[in-house]
Amino acid sequence: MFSLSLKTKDLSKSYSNGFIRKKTNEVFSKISFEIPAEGTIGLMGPSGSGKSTFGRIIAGLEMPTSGQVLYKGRDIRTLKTGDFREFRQKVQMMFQDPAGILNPKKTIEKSVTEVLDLLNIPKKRQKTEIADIFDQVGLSDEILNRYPYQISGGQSQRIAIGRILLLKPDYIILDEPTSALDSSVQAQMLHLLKDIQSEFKTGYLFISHDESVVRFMSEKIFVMENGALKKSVCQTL
Amino acid sequence: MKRPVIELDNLSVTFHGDCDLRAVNQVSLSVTRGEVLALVGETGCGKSVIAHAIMGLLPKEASVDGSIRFNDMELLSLSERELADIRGEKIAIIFQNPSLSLNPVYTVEHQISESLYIHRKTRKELAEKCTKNYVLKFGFNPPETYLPLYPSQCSGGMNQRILIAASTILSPEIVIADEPTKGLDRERVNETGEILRNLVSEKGRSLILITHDLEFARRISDRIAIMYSGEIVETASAEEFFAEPKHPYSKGLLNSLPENGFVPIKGSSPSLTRPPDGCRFHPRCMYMNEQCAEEHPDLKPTGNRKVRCFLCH
Repeated sequence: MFSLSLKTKDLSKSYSNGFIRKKTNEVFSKISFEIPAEGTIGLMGPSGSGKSTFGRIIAGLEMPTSGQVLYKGRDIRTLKTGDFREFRQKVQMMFQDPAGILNPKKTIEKSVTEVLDLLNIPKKRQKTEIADIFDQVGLSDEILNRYPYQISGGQSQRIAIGRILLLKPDYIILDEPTSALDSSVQAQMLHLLKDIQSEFKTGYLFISHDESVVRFMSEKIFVMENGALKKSVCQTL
Repeated sequence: MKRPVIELDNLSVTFHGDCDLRAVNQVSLSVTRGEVLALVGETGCGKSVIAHAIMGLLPKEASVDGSIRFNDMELLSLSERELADIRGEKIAIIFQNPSLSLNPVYTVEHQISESLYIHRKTRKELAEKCTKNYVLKFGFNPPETYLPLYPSQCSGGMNQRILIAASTILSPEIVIADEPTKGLDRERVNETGEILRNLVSEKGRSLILITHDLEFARRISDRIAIMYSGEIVETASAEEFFAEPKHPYSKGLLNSLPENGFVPIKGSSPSLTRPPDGCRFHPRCMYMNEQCAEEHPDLKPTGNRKVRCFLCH
């Protein structure tokens, strides 16, 4: 039995470009750190510093050039299919663009129920599960028959977090989850994320370039600059 | 008193479909020469629809009532050809999302100089010279390094500056900037603010800034108009507004800022197809009374500002 943990060890990522003379661009190198099982780590840095790439690698959506992502102490690249599937379910990622996260051709209900279909949840139970989660994230059932273009950015982000919660994740990588939202909707979303964390005991990696938002959300803050986690700031709330 | 360069009088925009949606409801506002007016409100409250109505860029299913006067010229009665002459030359718009607004297959130089060829029929050598000189103001120094680039080779901040340069190279009298800072980090936001402020102070242009970033609006605007659910609920000088907002929605907006602890406004914006009776903000308002649920308040003067709230009159 492995205890719950999500760490990176000497994680590096670089891209090569050019055809004849290959040039390597290093995004970041040798980053080791741990996301706590029930807290929030903030990750700041200017645009293009590699924050999102780092988050995507931890969520298993991109492969590192070298180093390891360790889930429950095991390198995710060595996990067998079943274990990797469990990892992908338990480590979720929430993206910045609320408009781009939902399939424009599907109703909200279809986009949400396909998650439960993947988990083999019977149709009868799906309705109650969705109703419970929608209640948690402050959405009404009336929205289920709508298409993504018929709802606001704040509602899209609530649906995104609701869909993630249906998977009962241990960790959520939040990549600029409020940067496309208005200040009042942003405030609602930040409080919702905090409530969810205390209710579901989830670990967050909160990525943002907005210092005030990161400070509000995180117990500990790291700053990514020029390919390294340059400094960490202890944060007391 | 300064004469307005542009004046909107009882402007209403309705989109016709399965059910009619009134995105803008009887909006009246004006902008004088050299003034920066910030139009602030939540996504979907009708800010960008006003900008598109001014530019004559609304889709066919939209009907527009009221009046938009630009230097004593009624824009709503102009033909498409007459409007095309005004767009870019007299009134320019900087669209949101520069990465999508710029054409990915044309160079920076082509996109900035294009309006010189179209509106002024400028010769190639002169257009190239003008473009090189103009982009220096936007930090593209030396121009030869940046002008041959394509948008995909530029950062988000650079693309934003390119878009502003392309929209303003003809020295329009009014610039409408639609969410010019969306998705940019703080440094790029400051950079964009400085460029926009310089554009106004250098040539006495007027700027209509459409944004949901209150901090940005505070820094660069002279006057603020707060929109909620298709209506203006408060207009005031930026200084007075940030010192003491009057409308409950304005107060809520300021409370949701980081320095005030991210206190959210309860509930969400109403549907524009079925707005609530009475004051549109009353279901979310902590000060509401019976009158708010039954009567629709007018935008009335209160001191130096105008507020749409029974509690402020």
